[in-house]
Amino acid sequence: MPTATPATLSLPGELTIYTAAETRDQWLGWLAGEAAAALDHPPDVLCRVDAAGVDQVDAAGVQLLVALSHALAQQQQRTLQLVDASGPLRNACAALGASALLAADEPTGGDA
Amino acid sequence: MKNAEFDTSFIAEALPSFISEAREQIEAIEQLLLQLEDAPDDRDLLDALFRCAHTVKGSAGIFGLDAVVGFTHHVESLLDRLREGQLALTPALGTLLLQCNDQIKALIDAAQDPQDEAPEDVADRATLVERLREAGAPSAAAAAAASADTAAPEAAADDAAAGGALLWRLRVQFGADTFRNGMDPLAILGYVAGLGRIVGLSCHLDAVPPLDRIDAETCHLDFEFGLETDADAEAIEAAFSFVRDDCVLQLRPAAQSAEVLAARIEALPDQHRLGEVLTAAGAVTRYQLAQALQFQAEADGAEAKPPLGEILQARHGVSPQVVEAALHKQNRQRTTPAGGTAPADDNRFIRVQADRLDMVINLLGELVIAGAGASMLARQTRQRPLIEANTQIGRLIEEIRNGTLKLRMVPIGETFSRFRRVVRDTASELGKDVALEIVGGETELDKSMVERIADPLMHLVRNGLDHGLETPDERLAAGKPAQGRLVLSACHESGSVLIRIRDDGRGISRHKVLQRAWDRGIVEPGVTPPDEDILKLIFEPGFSTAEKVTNLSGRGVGMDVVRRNIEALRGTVTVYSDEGQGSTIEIRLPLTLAIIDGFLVGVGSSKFIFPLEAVVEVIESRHAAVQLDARGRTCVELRGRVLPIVDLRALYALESTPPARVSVVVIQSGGRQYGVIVDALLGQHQTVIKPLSRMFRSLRGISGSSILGSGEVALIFDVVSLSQLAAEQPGSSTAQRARPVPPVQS
Repeated sequence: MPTATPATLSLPGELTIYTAAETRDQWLGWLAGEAAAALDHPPDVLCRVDAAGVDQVDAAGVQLLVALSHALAQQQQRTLQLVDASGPLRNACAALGASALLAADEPTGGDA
Repeated sequence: MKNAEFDTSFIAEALPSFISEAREQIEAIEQLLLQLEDAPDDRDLLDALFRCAHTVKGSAGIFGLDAVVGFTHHVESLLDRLREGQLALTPALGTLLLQCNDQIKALIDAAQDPQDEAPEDVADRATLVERLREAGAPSAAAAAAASADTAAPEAAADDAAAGGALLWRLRVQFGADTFRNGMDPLAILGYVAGLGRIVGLSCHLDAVPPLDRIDAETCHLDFEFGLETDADAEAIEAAFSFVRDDCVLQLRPAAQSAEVLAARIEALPDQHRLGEVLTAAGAVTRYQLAQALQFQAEADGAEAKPPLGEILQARHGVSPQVVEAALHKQNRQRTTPAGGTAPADDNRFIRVQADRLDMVINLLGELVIAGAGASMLARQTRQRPLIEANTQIGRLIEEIRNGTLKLRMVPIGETFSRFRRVVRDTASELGKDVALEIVGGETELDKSMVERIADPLMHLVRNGLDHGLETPDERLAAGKPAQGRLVLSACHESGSVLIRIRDDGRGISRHKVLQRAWDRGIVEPGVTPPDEDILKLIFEPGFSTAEKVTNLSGRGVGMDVVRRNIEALRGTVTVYSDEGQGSTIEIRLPLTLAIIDGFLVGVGSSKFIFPLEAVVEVIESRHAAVQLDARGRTCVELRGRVLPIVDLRALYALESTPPARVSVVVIQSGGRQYGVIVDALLGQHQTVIKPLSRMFRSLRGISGSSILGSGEVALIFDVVSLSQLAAEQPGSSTAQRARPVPPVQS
């Protein structure tokens, strides 16, 4: 795994409706940083995000991840990939048909 | 959401009914948790438990009770884990969930009376959430194992598909406010997955805006999937009931399911209506049917009204084969005479506000009095048709009265089962092993009575657990089984409700009671009251036999408060005990607080009423020449038995000349019968009970008063305390002297 920029994004422990607005603000800040860094070093197409720490997630959280992946794709032509996704996150992505966000080499949690 | 003002007023109006429903759910959760302790793997109970929690959360979301939604969410997550089999319900977890349920209850109560929360409450809740999280946190290995498991049983699911499971196609677009209403599509899909097997789920991810344009709290999720299940359309739709109003849900059986549905329709009992057939077979939901019928009604203006079958085909994707099978069924039904009865709607309850009901009952009381007045006037005119008309009205009033009072009757079992929790918690706190038995929970009692008896009962149950029942070691040493028994029973007995609390514990020591009474100055030291009066002393103010005051029962609210509360309900409480064998506490309550059937009698110018249920027979016109003792008591022979008799004139020192001939009313009280001498028998009377004013409260033997049709006041006897009063020795130490009845005139 190439360590791209020092500011590799780690997902928070709680990714739910209760934290969604706050998390969005943080990610917008991170996106802006990524965009600035991209001017110096052209980044990888795959944008790997550390998803090991998520222990609580709901549909609003998964939706927010989808929104993040859309923003990355539109602004920086990059693909979001969740690495080391925790059990709850993997199950939630599978249940909501968003398994595409998960790194392809990892087992997914369902049949979606 | 268009009209904020409308919303607010709607919420204010609907909140009380939400709260009462939520309380019922919480009650159900508690019962389910307790049942699950005995059967921790019962899938149905777990499902029911999850549904209850889900309902509370869902409806709390509608009312914007964020604290409830937030907290219940954590509970629900844990329950979900239990349901998925990722966690086992251990006793410790059960206790945690019970505590959480208490917390939800407290939050709901707080919603009724919004105030700033004390910081310690918030901290308590945070601790519970933390513990829930700890309990629910699966090790990574367990999660992986669980996800691996989901792949394995596919073969089993295929088997299920062969055995009647159907494939449904669903499309669900969640409304924008779904998250804000406290709903989690993930949980809803999880629930749907519990109905069967979700296949080929896809989410329209493109509908989600990118991060810079999204409002993180607006829901943009839109799913399409297949569901293989043996649940019917109604059950599938029910999974979406909390979001039904603002989500777009399409539900139709997949093409290959049509044959199964057609076969199912064929097997149904005959029914009149196409819609009934289709909903009964589970092919369409009632909601879909209602929509289709509305569409049909709107199209009515057009020259040709489209048939229901066509609408359902076109709009809800019901396959033609299914509709045809249903039509076939319907036609056959029309040709054969109607045989089977249509299935009764199980939703046969209406919620009514208690104060409206009370108003009707108050009016009814006035009607009864006015009716009695009218019929008395009619009798005075001696016009036969008028009297007959009044009798008819009187009979109708009586029926209305019985019907109306029945509206307020609720089974006492709900209150009883609340004690399961108390017994469980208290017993484990005290290190005792106690089995609670409930008998006669279906016995009905006036709702306000049920509410007001709960506290005294709670106190008595705790008392029994604390002081009555021994620890397992003590029990074994006394030659009893280690597990103690506590029996709560209720039954109807001669016009009242008898509630018994029986334990097989150590019983009450008369010796200790007496010693305590002497020490506390309740009884003059050295004086020994008759044996049956000793136990009554525990109900005296300032009495507490607990050698060690525990925080459970020795809290100052003593048995005297229990007795006072019960007497305020016109009830009585009696205690029986065999030392070493256990005690029984009997509470007798009237069926209702409002109106009874009475038997009116006259003594001199005073009128009295006996509850009709207590009257066994009357002996008319005896010669008054019997020898009475100083308190107006004597005995007569009634069909070979000796019947004790009491004379009201002497007992209450009524000043009037006794007539030459008197009558005797034979009263049943508890297990005994006794007679009461009266001057005149005035017949049956519908009695509206008015409470006695403070001045007359101390009057013994009397439980209330009533206004007669003529405007006179009659006093209502409490037959149990009247018999006690008559049985007392003159001048016994605990006896209060009966006071003369003041002349009663209104």
